[in-house]
Amino acid sequence: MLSDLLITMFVCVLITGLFLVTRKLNSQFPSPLLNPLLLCIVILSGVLVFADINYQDFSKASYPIHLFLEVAVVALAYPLYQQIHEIKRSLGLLLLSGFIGVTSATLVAFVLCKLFAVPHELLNSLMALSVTTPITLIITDGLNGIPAIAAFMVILIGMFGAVFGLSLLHLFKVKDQRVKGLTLGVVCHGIGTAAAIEHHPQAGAFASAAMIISALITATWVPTLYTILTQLSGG
Amino acid sequence: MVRRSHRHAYALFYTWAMKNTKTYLLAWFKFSASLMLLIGFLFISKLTTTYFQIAFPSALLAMLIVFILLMTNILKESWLAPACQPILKYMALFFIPAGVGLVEHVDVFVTHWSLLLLVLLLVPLIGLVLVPFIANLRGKHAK
Repeated sequence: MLSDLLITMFVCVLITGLFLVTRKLNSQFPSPLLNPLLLCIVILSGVLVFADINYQDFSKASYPIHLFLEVAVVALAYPLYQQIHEIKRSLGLLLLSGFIGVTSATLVAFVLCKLFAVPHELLNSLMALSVTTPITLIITDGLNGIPAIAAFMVILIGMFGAVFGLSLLHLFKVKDQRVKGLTLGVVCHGIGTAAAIEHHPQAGAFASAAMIISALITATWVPTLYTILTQLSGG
Repeated sequence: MVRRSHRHAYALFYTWAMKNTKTYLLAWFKFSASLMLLIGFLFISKLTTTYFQIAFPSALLAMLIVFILLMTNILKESWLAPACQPILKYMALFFIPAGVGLVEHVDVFVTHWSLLLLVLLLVPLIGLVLVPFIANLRGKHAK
């Protein structure tokens, strides 16, 4: 019993330490490719595979950290409240583009999955890709998907957006900073938002608001859309 | 002279330590109280969703409740800031345990890598084209 507690403490301290080190690394060499979360996941997965540690044991030991996931989602109310005064006038625009972004992401993933005829479990994991990681984890769990796969894809999509997003938007002749920000926020969530904040303050404000609004839209709309799509495709 | 300055330094250290302990304790207390507030709302919304059997994620319900209470000024922004700011800053840490669940599904990546690659390219690309298109349409309409 005591040794369990010690192992839990050791694992939690280890994960936190690793996270702080990778964060420091990212601030030394700022690049979306050196994402601290992705680095930590890859390193820890590597350790688990090579040291032949059972994931169930790891998951039990790291549960205290996992518990904070839901607290972090509640904490998202705070930045939304801070942004609301700035974005009140464009709320309709944010809702519309959030809705379009989330729906198109789910539709694209669904059609691709049907074309490739993948198992249900994988299909369910790819339904909520246009949101910030904590919401993906919670919603994918609710749809009986594999949260880890969803989180991994979400992080990779965010990195794609942060690396190519602004140049692609430039290519499509988008000049309005607000539109740039809200596109990055809807499509590439947290990592895209960071890129938008770096690019322009107004784009940053719109990106963080768009990210949270598309999280709310995903939570309410994606499960319904998923039911409609599966019924339409006769499954 | 030497002894006096030594004593002086000790007195300085003593006041410094007392003052800092006070501020650290106060900061710790504020953080804990604000964290308790967040956890309390999460707990309330968990009870609500299980009691009424709502399919909505309880964490998001709690977020909406907190947001509405902030908007109506029942909750003060300064009550939440001590916990929200550090939690949001280090939020990615909390996704690590779930993310490492990847090791159980390496076979999925091996068998379906082509689909996953296509999803990875097409989902952001279509979003990056469609969202500005819609936003511009609406913007022109508003003008």
